[in-house]
Amino acid sequence: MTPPAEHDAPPVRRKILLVDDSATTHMWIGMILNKSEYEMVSARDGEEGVERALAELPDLILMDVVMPRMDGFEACRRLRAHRATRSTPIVMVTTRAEAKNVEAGFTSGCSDYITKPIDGLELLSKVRSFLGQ
Amino acid sequence: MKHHSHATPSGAAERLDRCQAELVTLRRRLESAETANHHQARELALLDERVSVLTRLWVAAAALYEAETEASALRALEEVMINLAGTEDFGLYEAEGNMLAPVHTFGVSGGRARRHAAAGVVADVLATGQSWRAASPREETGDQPAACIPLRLGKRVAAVIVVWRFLPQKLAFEPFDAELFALLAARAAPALRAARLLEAAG
Repeated sequence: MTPPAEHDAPPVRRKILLVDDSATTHMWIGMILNKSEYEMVSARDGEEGVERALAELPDLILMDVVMPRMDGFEACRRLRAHRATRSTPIVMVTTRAEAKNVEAGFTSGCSDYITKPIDGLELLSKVRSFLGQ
Repeated sequence: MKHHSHATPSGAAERLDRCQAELVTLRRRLESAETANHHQARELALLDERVSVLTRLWVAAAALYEAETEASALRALEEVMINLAGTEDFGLYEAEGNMLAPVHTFGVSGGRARRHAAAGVVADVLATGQSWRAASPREETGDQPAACIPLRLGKRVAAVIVVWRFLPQKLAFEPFDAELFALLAARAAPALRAARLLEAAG
């Protein structure tokens, strides 16, 4: 038998970790990022987000800011302190778009940010850009 | 070139005419194809927008109807208002005649967080059962809200959602907002009641 042609191989599904305490955001983002295209992993607060990121080593992390137990800024700082997640793209998903909040996000080590209410096309565009698609 | 050497001047002119006619035909076909392509691109963009609207409406409805307790229904409503409608401050008030009793507020303080009489736009919404919103989310409305949604239970307005302020990054309303307001007007009060009944039933 001849081996299947290279173009017949299923595309590699990139892994995205969504860290957010909002069920609505999980539903909405899950629908934007088609599950057949991306493997979605989720966490409900910053602490769980750090644990999941270190265990799953996602290709990209979408991180809410205001969450119980540990906020997104602190989670971002902790992930940047680990060699395994030092360079993983982290996109902050925030309701607060004021300069000081954006600056706090970048200071904590996030790669980019997106504001709520989430624009599906903007999110897809940023995700694809970070994943080189 | 040898194969052209036998052509007479009139033969060459005929060929040129045919080529020019063919060129005109091809240009027309190209224009037609481009027009069809633009039309399909517009249709696709409209379809994408429609899918986006329907998906968000589905998320809102699913969030409201998944709740099995009053607290989780209110939490779902709060998430819908912040994450899908882009509100910064809002309150859900039960209507008791012309009085508004706060059931759940977010980012609201002072008199707006207490029982108070409906006035202005909110009183109109209670009376007419029709949603209202400012011309733009960024419009300065003074003491008046930025939007108000009547929550219907059967034929009566059981409650209202009063949006006092939208998030600063929400610069304009989009068609989705009107559809979300319509969904909340028709479905939020029954969903809340269902959650209360489920909770009471244990």
